[in-house]
Amino acid sequence: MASVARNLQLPLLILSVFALLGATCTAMPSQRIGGTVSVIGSWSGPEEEAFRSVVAPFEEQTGITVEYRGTRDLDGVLWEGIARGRVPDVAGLPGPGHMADFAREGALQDLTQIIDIAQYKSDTVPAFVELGTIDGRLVGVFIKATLKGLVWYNPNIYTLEEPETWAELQALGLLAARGDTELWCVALESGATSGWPATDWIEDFLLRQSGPDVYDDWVAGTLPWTSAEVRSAFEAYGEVIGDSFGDAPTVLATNFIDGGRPLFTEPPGCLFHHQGTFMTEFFRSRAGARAGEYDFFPFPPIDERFANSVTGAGDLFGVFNDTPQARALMQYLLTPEAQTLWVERGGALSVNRRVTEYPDPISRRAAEVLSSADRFRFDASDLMPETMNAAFLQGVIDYTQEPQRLDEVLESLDVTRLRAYSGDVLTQPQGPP
Amino acid sequence: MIHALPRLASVPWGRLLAGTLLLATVGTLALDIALWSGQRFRPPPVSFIQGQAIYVVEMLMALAYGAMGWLLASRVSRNALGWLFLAIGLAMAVQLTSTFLVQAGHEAFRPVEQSVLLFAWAGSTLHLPLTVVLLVFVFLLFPDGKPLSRRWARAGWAAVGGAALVMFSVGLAPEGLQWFPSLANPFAAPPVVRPLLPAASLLGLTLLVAGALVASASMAVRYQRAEAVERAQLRWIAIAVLFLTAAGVPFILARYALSMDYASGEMMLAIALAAGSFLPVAAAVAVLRHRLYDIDLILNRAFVYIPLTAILGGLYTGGVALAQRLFVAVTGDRSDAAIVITTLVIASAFTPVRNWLQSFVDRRFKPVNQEGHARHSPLHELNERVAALEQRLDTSLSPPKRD
Repeated sequence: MASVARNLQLPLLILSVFALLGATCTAMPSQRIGGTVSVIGSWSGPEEEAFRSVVAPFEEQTGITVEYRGTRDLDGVLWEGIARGRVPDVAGLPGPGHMADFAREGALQDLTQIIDIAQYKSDTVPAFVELGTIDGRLVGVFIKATLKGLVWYNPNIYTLEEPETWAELQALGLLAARGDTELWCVALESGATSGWPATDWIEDFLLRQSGPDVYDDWVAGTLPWTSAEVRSAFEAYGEVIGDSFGDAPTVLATNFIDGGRPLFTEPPGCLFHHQGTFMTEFFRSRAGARAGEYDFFPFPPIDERFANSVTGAGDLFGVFNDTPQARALMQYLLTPEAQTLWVERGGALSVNRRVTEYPDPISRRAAEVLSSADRFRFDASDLMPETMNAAFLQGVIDYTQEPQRLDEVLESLDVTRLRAYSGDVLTQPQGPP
Repeated sequence: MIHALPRLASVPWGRLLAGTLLLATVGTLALDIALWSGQRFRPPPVSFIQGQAIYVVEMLMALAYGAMGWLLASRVSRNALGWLFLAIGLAMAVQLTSTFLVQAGHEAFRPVEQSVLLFAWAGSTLHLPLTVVLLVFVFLLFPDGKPLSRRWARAGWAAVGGAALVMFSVGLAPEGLQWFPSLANPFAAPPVVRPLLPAASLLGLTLLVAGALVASASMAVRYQRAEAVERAQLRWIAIAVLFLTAAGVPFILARYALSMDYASGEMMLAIALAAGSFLPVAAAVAVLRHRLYDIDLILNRAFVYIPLTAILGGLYTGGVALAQRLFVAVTGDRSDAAIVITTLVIASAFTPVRNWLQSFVDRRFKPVNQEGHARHSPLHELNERVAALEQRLDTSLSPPKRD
């Protein structure tokens, strides 16, 4: 018996060492580390406040100071930082397409050794894990998701039923509109990334008119911009602009965060506003709306074959400098605790499937719409090469200004397509949602 | 009950099972094509594979291994080779199913179903190591179903042990599924076990590669020791084995031991698959050109009688229709004479058409050496016995010599 015990001593000792090592490797950032971690992201205003409130408990627990800087020209700032050798420790990334460029440049760290990869994959939907993976290396993680293509309205103004088709929406809108109230409010201004709300419109039309396969071909650069499908999506967007509050200069000059304001004015300027889940934050902060004064329905189907398809996006984060503070922050941002803080602020959907409690009926319903959709497609412009994305932004602005130039705009985009997808990618500023 | 036993014994279980396995392979491939076409043939989210070509090659390979396996297992069912080929083909087809199901799981914004996750885990963990083991046994057992000696057989067991260790390491990897990097591993090892995984992987890989190399060497030795006829039968197989070892071992090392970008990994996989495709082709050459197992006679008959049936059937149907029209045109009514005449014409055409087909097939698939019957062939043994018997009969029946 004693010899058995002696024989077991060494294996037990080895196992204990392994257990200790394992415990060290997976430790959550609960101990005090101190120091600072620099973070750059696209959030400002209420979104920045939300981020700061999310990281506040982290700063308290770890003693690490999070130095955040917000910019709408995220892409330009990051490329400039890479060129000068001065990059932030952690950064929000403009989109999967741009993340891939940063990764191929060797600027992004492999997160496999930085976060608990098993837990992340277990908690996150495969589509998002896939989008953050380049050549088998996980270089970007999503810390929150956005459901796009929602039609927002003021239930005190629009009191009719939820339309089941796009045609029904237009018919009901005409019934509900009174006086000078227009059908839509559209706002495209967003600094260096102006025009992105219009790209969302076109993506939603294309997905629902022509289906996910055509959408995928378009994203992949195999569908010409001059095709009947893309043209049809642009024309549908053009009709929306024709039914919009204010004229084209108003649409182009209004910042997207103020896009929903006319829903709550007296008399209302418009009935509907097309935006993602994050918009509730701006309804409250910019338009003074209160809970109950805004609600949504999903973008209605146009072609029944492609019903129950949704578009969405997410906030991608990557690590440029692998420091203990950066590791701790990344680990923290993915925890259910941090994710819960995001969703409690409203307007954000968690990418962590362990987070199931949403603070209000709107967030809860948005999460249901997202998870029950048969087909999910990521924001197309975020997946396109930088050059293509930049040209798309310029193209929608040009088309909004001068709708009669549609042929010219589409032909120009097609010329860019041939260049952008052949690897001739420029590092120009572009836009996250 | 007493009568039932001989009946059961007379059922060709080997052929039935081989046919069932081939059908399962073909059916699974049909399902794969249906699933993939529903996804508009988009490349699935698999590590190392970015385009569509690899999947097409894998489908053709599954079919080639399945068909060759069925041929061997149904004719020489006691030889393990046919079953090994069938297993490789079916496993490849099933693995493709898991791949396309995973792709379908990426369509929606929710976790993949647990059943798909488990299927993907099995495909990602088991498929490649098991295929290597099956190929190692093919190398060791070709062509007579027996290893050169017990000592050589140890290579097979080394490969089995190595594959088990690799599967242990990959199957418990906390990083997720190796072939499907976007999926979490449902059996991720607890932290206490994780440090053991690299060691298990290294040891397993060493054993697996050693097994493959030794099995490959056994084929070379077998070729060297073979006599002229057997050497001709083994030549193509030996080349295929060496080619597959040279391409497969670097790929296995790249897959399990090295960190490699997808483009390089895909190129190595493509080379390994090309080499793997050569094996059933080499086996077919050995069977058809060098009369291995004497299956060429069966194939020869199949190549003659299947087209013969189709040609005569077509001629008969067309002939009856034509004759009926002629009768209607001449007499104004249909007649049974049309059927009788057509049947007579077709019956008279049977022998010329068969002879023509036979000579065509003989020209195309004529064995290189008519004298060189397979050594590993029941028919060969039977022929030898019949020849001996004929000689005895000749001797005993021939009139006594007069001096």
